[in-house]
Amino acid sequence: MKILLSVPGSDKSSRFLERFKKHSLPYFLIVPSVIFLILFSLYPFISGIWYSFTSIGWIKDTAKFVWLSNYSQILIGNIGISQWFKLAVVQTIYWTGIGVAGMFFMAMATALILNEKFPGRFLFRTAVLIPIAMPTVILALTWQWMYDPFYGIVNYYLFKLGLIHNANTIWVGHPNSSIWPLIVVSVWRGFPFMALMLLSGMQGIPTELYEAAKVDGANVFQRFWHITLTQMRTTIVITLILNIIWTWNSFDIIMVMAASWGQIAYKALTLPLLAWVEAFRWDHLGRGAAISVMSMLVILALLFWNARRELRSINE
Amino acid sequence: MTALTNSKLDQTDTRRQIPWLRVRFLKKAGRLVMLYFLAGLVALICLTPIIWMVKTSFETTRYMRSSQIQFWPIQPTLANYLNVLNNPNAAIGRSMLNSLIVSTLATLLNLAICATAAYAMSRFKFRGKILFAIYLLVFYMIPGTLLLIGMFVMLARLHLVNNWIGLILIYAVGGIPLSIWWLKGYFDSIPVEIEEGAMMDGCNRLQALWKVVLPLALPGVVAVGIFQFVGSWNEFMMALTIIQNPKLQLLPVQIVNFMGSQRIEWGPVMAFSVIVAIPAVILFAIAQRGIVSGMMSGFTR
Repeated sequence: MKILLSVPGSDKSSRFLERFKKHSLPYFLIVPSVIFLILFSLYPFISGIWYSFTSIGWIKDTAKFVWLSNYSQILIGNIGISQWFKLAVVQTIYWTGIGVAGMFFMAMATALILNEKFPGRFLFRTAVLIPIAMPTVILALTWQWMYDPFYGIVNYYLFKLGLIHNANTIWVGHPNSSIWPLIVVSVWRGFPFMALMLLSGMQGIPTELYEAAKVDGANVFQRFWHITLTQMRTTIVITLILNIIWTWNSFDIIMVMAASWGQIAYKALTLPLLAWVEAFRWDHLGRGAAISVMSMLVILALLFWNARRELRSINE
Repeated sequence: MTALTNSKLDQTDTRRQIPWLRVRFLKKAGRLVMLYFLAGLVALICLTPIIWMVKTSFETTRYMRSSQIQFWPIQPTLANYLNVLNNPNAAIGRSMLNSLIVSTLATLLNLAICATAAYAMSRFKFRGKILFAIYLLVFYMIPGTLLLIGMFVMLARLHLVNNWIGLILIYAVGGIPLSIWWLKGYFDSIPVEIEEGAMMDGCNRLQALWKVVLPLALPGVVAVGIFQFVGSWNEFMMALTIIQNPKLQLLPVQIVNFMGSQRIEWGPVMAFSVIVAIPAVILFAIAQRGIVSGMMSGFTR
């Protein structure tokens, strides 16, 4: 920095220029991203909230301010959209709560296994990595084929094991089909990546801790509980929060398996899907926006405390 | 006293040497067997649907509909691939080109915006930095559908629906928070002294970024780019909503449309799936080392 100040001929104005240059550089650097973020995320976000208070149905409509009319249509009453909304709230909570819990269980087990050293470990690691890279859409299609009532392997094996009585059980793709088969797909789709996230935290735990605990006579479970879980606290919290957000807002699996052809299976829709169907299938952009806003408020309330914690440590 | 204990220890050692070794060996072998069993189980869970997809893509329709279930095609055939490559409804070549163009442009735009911003976040303290960081975090919690609705009306008013421009912008912007955090992590790991040295030699800050920092962070930049590319390649919701013209359609939507356009033939659909998945898997495999650590470094701060 000394060089800048010792520039020859540094009279007052050029020094001001230098200072301006020096202090404005970071702003020049972030300006492009700020502009893009304002135009293509902040503006659509705010206008989306605004549309939730308007009568806009499709793009050619003028957006007339109607106060909370959309919200009351969704929240009050028991038929049509308000019925589906109540269903969707419950389903979103199942989808996220049970889905993320299942993912976490599977991911923790996977991470613990892959954290051990054994020959050929990288092969198993690759096996876990492969599904992560694939588009969710085609995985959902594959599962739809596996759930096929007549020729699918799910029915085949479940029937063979005596877990179902009807060899042609319809799991998905029917207007009445439920969200549970989709939660299975979501867990399967989500856990490998979660396992990698947990694994990256697990590898940061010093091995001395385990050795010391072994000397003190702690068994496997005590070591897992007191060392692994305690040391990984931050990683676990972040992993869970991210996965809760992703799962809550996830779209592809349900869209492909419950809403893309034939009739829509309302009993398998979560809030984001209901919002999409309302906005783009039934041309009620305003109402769709209102559903999205309410969905977002719930997730924001859930995650507020984390944001606060995150902010405290940002400017270090 | 000490002599006594020593001799005692020696005695027990010699007496128990062989059984003790055997126990240790058994313990070790048992641990390995258990690990292989559990790891195999996990791998099986992960790969079964994918093996089933690949298997179906090589299976003839007749045998697909048989009650015999096996994981190797009963009569391997390339018919499904030929079908899907020649089927005008599938339009696989065109949609692949579309996806390639959109994903590449979105990735390049994203990297161009984010590299500079990440550099600023890494090297400077400035007013508004916290606000910017907050926004990057909040951005994650905005539901895609809400953004999509606002975006869709905006694009419609600009006559950009059914146009790649809107989609490219959405993908590029959607990846901003992750890219910035991730690249910031890479820049943080490069010592400031290197740039200061370059600036001594007469570079200004931007030149130093371009000539010194970026080349050093190149592996990281490539990993971020690949992640963004695969993300755009795999994206479904935005493409589904914004592009309705079948000629402009991208792969993930195209495959769903292809499936809906006829009586469901799982053979060609699975063949299509395999073709879509291969580039994503290969790219991801190249960058996988950086991806998880990079992502986590963005959040564990």
